[in-house]
Amino acid sequence: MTSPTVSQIATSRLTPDFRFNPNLGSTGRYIGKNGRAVSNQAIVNELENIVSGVKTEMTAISQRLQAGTINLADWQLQMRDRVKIIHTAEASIAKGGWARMTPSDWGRVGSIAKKQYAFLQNFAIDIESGKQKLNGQFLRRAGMYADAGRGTGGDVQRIEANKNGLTEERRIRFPGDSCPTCIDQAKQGWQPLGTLNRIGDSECRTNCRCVFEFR
Amino acid sequence: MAKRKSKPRRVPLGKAIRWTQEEIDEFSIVTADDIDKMRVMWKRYASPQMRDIIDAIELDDTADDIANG
Repeated sequence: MTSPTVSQIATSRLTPDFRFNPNLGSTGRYIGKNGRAVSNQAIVNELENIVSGVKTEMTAISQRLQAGTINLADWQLQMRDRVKIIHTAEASIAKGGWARMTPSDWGRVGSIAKKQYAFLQNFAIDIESGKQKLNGQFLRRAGMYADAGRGTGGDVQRIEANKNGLTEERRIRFPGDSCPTCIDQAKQGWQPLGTLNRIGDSECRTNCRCVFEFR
Repeated sequence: MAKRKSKPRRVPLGKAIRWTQEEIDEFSIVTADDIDKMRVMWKRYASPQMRDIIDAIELDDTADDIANG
């Protein structure tokens, strides 16, 4: 059976406790029930909750593979589902809620997921061949598929900034980050939009918690 | 100390799935079911006060809804 398309979801069923004002700030702001703008830090914190939750699930699935209670194909399919979820969530939040996502935004998420599926398939083939042992490194590698979602939100924000006519970006480091490239990128301050590294394209890779600001 | 013997697998490891490009293309498409799964996941892990932020709608649309009763 074919799944319904995104456009078939009625936004009327939404209960808008939160609204998104695209004209507030550089790429829009969420407005809470109390009428106040939600801080960017609060959004970053929530995204970290989701990454952490999905990562916990991916680890649990991987532990089941380690324990021999599921086979490799089941593991691959369960991981695949969560890969899509994390990128869909990151993109939706960066856009101002899933109801604001356009077909082209969904297409972008699909394209990111496609790359991740190819990585996941290689990961599974490495397990099958014994190149990847079912050890601690296996669990860490599995968790990186959740961490990879962080870059997707940054990608969507950059596109929104461009649409809003903003021309510059800067990277703000997470206080705990110490990757040399991230330090250097943050030091560069305001740069033309699209010229700084993508979130995740530094030595800290998917662990990168830098965020973009735009003007 | 003797090395702990690992338990035998209950399920054989089996083979990795080799997806064709067409299969990858197909399941990369974001469907309504995917959105629902994502919303469920969000609500499972978001802090209570932020559970509904994923369902935010654009302010202008809301203003129209309110104006139209």
